[in-house]
Amino acid sequence: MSMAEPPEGHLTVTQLNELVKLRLEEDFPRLWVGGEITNLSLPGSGHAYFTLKDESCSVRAVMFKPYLMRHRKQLQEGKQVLIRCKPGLYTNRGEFQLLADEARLQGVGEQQLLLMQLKEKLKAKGYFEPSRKKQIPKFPKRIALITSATGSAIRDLLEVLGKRWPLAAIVIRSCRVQGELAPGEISAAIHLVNKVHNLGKLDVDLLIVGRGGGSQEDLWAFNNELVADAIYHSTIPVISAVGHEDDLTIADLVADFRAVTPTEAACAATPDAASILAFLQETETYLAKAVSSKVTGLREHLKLLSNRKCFKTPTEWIHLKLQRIDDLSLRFKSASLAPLNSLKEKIIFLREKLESLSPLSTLKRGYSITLKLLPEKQTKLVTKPEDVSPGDFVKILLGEASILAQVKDIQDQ
Amino acid sequence: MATRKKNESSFESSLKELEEVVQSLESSQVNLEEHLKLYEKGVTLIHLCQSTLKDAEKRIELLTGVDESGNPRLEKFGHESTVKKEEKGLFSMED
Repeated sequence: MSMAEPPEGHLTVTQLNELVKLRLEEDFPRLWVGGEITNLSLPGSGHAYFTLKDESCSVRAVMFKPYLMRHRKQLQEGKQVLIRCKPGLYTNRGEFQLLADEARLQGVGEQQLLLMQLKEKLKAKGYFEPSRKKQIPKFPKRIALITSATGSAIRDLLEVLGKRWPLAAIVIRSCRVQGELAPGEISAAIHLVNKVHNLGKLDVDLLIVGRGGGSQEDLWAFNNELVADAIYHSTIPVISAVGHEDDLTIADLVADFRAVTPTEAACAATPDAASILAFLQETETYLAKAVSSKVTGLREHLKLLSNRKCFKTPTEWIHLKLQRIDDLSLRFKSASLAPLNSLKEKIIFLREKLESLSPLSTLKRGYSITLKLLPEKQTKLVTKPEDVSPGDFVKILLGEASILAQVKDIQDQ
Repeated sequence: MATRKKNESSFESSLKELEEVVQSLESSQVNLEEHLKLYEKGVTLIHLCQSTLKDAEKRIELLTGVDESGNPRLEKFGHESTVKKEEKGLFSMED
């Protein structure tokens, strides 16, 4: 490498980086380094980029494609490995990195192990029991957001919450969401909101606890027992939004609902005003239809009824009745006159009989009746010679007249 | 009618009541007079819900702490939402 003399002791960045790179490569032979793999990324180039870390430190590492093909199994997130590598410098960014060409599994990474132990412990305590999960309210009145007031999650949360359900009041309790202090602050915030809620000072229906996305180390605060305890003891339902699709944090496991991102959390927390308004609109139309169909139904019924014969030809009924009256009166007449008629006939018969017996009919045939006139206008029927004496006045009754006469003589026949 | 639970918002109970109205209307046992009464009630509830939603003002506060007796200390939290700008289109059906 040709080294131009830097004027007045200055180096360009490139020169510096090249120098450091050279020194690193000269001073460090190929060596084995043990640590936990995190932030593994496998871009299309076929190289693998990852971070190797222990309890306190981390270093960037890369394994190029030809080596990776033989060690893909060993290179996995969270795995404790030994890698054979040469330390070097990525000159473009001045970044210290390990160039790995071999990897051997070293059992489970220590942090991962601690996490697994914590999970087992909390599981045994019943922290993850689905049966104890609280229901997320459908129409929250106040939602508390427990996240950094300056982080990326808060923007998304406020945006989506405000758009979906402006009826819900929002209260923010800001806290750190990464670093050593984060677990204590997150759990204290959960406790504080629960306290004011339980004292009846500020009703809160729902907590959203979380942060925007980040690397696995960034999410570490949500794998903490303090945070798990706070969520577990919260009387207010909790939605977690830790922003990492692949890894379930302990906070996610304890929370009543796990959202992958803050946006998803906001959606899970609230109904959608727009769709509710659409529903209301539909219901209004539906109600109007229901009423008009009711009216139409009744109108149809009325029409059917009014088409019935009794309404259509109302006089027919009267005619039928009249006919019946006629019928009855006829029957009545015949029934009541029958005895009368037979009586009449009898009378006629008797009269005829009577007439045949009457002397008047005899007179009509030319006979006559002689009556002797007595004083005081009395009369006596003359039937034998001794009944009259000459000089008596008699009345001779003919059929249609009578003769007044004086007896002259009485002669025997 | 709707028995309002302690934690139920008035919006929620209005919505429930509306559901009951619809159910009653769907049962054919209702006579015309009741039917019209229910319809009127339903429409009133719908308009109430709509205006509640449309008139809602967003309230965002920062909880900075509590005093000795547990009263929360709240501050207004400034959040310039894009919602305000879109307000007119917010409740459109395309959403």
